[in-house]
Amino acid sequence: MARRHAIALLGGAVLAGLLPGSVNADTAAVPFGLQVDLFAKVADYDKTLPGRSQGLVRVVVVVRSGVPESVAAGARVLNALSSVPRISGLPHEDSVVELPTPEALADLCRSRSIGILYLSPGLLDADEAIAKALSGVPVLTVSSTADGARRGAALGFDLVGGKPKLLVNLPVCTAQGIRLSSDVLKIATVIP
Amino acid sequence: MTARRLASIAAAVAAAVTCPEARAGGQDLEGLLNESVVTAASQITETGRDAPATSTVITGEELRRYGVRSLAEALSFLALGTSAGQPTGATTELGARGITISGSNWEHFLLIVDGARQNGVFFGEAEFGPAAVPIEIVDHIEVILGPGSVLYGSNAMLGVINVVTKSAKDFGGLRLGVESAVWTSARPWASYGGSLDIGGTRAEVTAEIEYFRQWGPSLHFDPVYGGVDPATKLPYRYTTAPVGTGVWGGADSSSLTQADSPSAVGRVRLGKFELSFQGQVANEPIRASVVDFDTRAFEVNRRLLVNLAYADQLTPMLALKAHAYLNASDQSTTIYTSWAPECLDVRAVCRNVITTEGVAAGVEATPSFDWAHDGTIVTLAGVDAVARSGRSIFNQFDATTGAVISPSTGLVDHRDGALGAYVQQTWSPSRWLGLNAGGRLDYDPRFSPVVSPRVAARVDPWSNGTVKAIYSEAFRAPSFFESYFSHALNPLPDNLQPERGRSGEASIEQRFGAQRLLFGVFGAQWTNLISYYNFSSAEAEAYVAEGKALLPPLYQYRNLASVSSTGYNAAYEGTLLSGALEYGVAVTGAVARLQNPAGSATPLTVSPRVFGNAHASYRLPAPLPNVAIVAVGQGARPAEDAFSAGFRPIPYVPARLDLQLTLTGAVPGVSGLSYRLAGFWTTADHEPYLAGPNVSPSAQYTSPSLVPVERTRVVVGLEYRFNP
Amino acid sequence: MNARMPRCFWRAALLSALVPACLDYTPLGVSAPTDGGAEAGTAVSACIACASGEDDAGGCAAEYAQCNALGACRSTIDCVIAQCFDPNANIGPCLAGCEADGGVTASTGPASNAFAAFLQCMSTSCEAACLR
Repeated sequence: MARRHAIALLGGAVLAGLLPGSVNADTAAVPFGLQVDLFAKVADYDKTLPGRSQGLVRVVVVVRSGVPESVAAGARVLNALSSVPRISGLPHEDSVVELPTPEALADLCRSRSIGILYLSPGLLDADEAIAKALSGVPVLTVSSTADGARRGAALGFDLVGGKPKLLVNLPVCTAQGIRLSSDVLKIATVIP
Repeated sequence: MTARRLASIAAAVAAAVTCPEARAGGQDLEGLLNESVVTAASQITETGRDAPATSTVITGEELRRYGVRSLAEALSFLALGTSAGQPTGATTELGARGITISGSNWEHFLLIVDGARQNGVFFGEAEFGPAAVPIEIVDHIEVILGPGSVLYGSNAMLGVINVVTKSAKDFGGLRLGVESAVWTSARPWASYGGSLDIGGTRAEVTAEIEYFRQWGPSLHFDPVYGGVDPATKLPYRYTTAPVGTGVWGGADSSSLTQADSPSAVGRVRLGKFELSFQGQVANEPIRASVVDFDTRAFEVNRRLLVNLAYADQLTPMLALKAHAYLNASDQSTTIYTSWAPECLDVRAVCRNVITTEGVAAGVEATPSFDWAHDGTIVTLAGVDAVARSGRSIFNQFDATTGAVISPSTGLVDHRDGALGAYVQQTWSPSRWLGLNAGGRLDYDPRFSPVVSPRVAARVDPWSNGTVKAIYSEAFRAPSFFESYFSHALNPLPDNLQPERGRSGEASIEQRFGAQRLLFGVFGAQWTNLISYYNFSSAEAEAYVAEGKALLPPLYQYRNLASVSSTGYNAAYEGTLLSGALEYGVAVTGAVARLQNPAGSATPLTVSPRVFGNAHASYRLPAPLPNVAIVAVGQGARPAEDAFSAGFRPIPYVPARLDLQLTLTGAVPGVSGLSYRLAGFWTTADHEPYLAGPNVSPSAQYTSPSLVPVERTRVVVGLEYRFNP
Repeated sequence: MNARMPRCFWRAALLSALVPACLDYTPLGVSAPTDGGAEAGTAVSACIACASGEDDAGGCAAEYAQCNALGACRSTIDCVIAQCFDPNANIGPCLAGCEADGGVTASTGPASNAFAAFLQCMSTSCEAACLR
């Protein structure tokens, strides 16, 4: 019985890695603590954040409970955020939400004046819909991966040469009313 | 204790610990983007400052910008704590923290490429020279200094070198290139990178093949005098000529600078699986004390490495990595010699051929448990099982007629298995405090199980400052050659034990803006170094009397010497002008001593006491080129056998300075075409490695012949990228 | 050592076609001398050449001469040369067999002493020529 169970587990692992339609959780390459440091620092250069935040920067981490990597990433990001005293000179309040519909997510951002929306790994299939729903919603969206930035998050991270790279999706920033200082754009990889 | 209870305790501790100013508060964005990310130090993806080791990351962009052509050059030009020497014009020997073991074939470093362990089975050797890993496909190189056996087992005594190749997103399309050191070598290469979705699963492939050929330069070898050959009563021949002069060298030769090597490396990713492969056939010169001057001693190394890996986050708590690997290599070494005792027929020229083979096939699984689900308490465990085989044979032929001169010796045909199990516990109750403890148990049928522990602590006591303290141990198992190669007068070793190393280090790092300053001190002690022991007559007779051998032996591999090294590492690096200007300097000072069995202690030969590098590059606006310069310095180094060969004064090679200026950029007007132009110059005339036979000083020749050095070199390269 | 087909690690891989041939680990022996005496290019002649050399140049002339003068010792040497250089020979038992055949197995006695002295000299002064 144990042997059959082990074989079933192994087979399941193989199939989970290969079957069409299986959720292909893109993997974040930059450590989550460093990602938090980076987007917290970028937030310092977001000229619209103080105005949007009304004295408190609300950070929401979006996870998908059925994707282990997403849940783990969410917990690590929250843990890293707990050691960041201020964002853009303001106190911050951090929380995790289970991925709702894109429209519900947009409503959440509007109603609670969310300053930063972090999209954990495992949401790649929803990135484009989320970006579309958030068009016009003033929120800084951050993806854990470079693909996430290309698919509609304002910021994303990549690891090249063992060093982190910051990707800025300029059209998305414009659509979401984010104005980043040129100091960021000079050292980031800009997606035109 | 449940995970939740453990997490609660951890949270309570974290709350009780006062938190200094946030880590990233004072570090600007450019500084954060300069942070290096490593995985080899603890098999966890983490920043270099969090890792339980002193590390350097060399990026692929730096490799291109600074004109680097091989792994050895990368480590020499751009890493902290490593130094390189060239025992031949086509091969390199690496040391770290003041310890270079001459002739060790890199067996005290563990080399990993895309998760595949590169060190061979028969000699424990690794390849760092040209074409070992085609340089264009390298994404980055992690240099983890110090003992690494806690996670990797044997060979990781001086450090772990982890090479990661590029993914398709950074190496896409078809590229063709050629590079030449004018006019002594050529290296054409081709590469491809691409990705596609297969039914929603991401697949990608990257590969590069290259052919490296070097045919010069011709270098002048100083003469040495061996005197009269007692076997012939005539002056030693040292050449293929029928009559000798007793002098070796004294002329130019390209015997140590000829090499050729086709190689290929690549990987295929499909979902959570990755298949990486690497192959090379390297024909390169070797240095031996028994080689006729007008011939070329060479070895042909063939390597095939295949690694199938799987990685996945199975639950929020449990992640799993596993891989199966094949490491197969064989080696055929050819040496021409015409004097006794290496040539049994002193009237002939002997062609000695030594053939070896080593194969390892294994599996390794590494689950990790994130108990609090947030990265604060993580247990990593692993099991590594490997089946190994090794064969060898030594033949001697008449170089002219092909007739067999002596019966085959050095016959080895051995198979065994080895097992390693390891565990590592990390605890980061706060982002400014990190603790790491672990150990690995290695089982090898040749010796008692070996335990390799490590404990490390990392504290960020003030803004952007990091203090580390690390203690670790490592070992190098005897190679198959050391354990099993024997002949009538070189008996098998008695209970040969693994070499052991212990190291303690402490460092302090300060980041300010985009700048980084590091200073660390270290102390290392190695014991049980394996080398040949020469029997005295009385010892040889006693050996026979004890029934250990039929004939009185002459030499035997034993655990003999010890090495100690204490010193410091210092580094400063940074960027300015939004990254357009990048620079760094790294210096290591170390006093390394060899404790001989007889009790005397001497400086470690071929090892520098002070060495380092400095580099700077500036990105000019297009179409102007990027300009980069690197300088490598090494203090004076004692020559091989300096303290035992009897030469006076004791031979040293003086301090040296190497400079390389590299220009890179796009060829104006030709889309997709780029160039790289480098000029190299060194103050050195010789390396501290002996060339020619082992001779005693004579009235006319008071110094040994040392390997000469190529003083200048110009390298030109072009790369064309299709559909950039 | 039993002769066997060379084991080919390339066989295990798709890449076996990329490598033309495995290296050969079959032990080689030396052809028997065809005209007796010392021939160029054979290990035996090199060994004898060394063993019969002058003492002050590293040979074993004195020991060789002394052994040659004793029939039992001489026949033991002849046996060793003929049989114990074969790559399939296990030198320990081969030496013991030649000693038994030649009659020098006694721990003392002129022939035994002479053979032991010559063996000792050969293994040191003529190690490379005779025993590698």
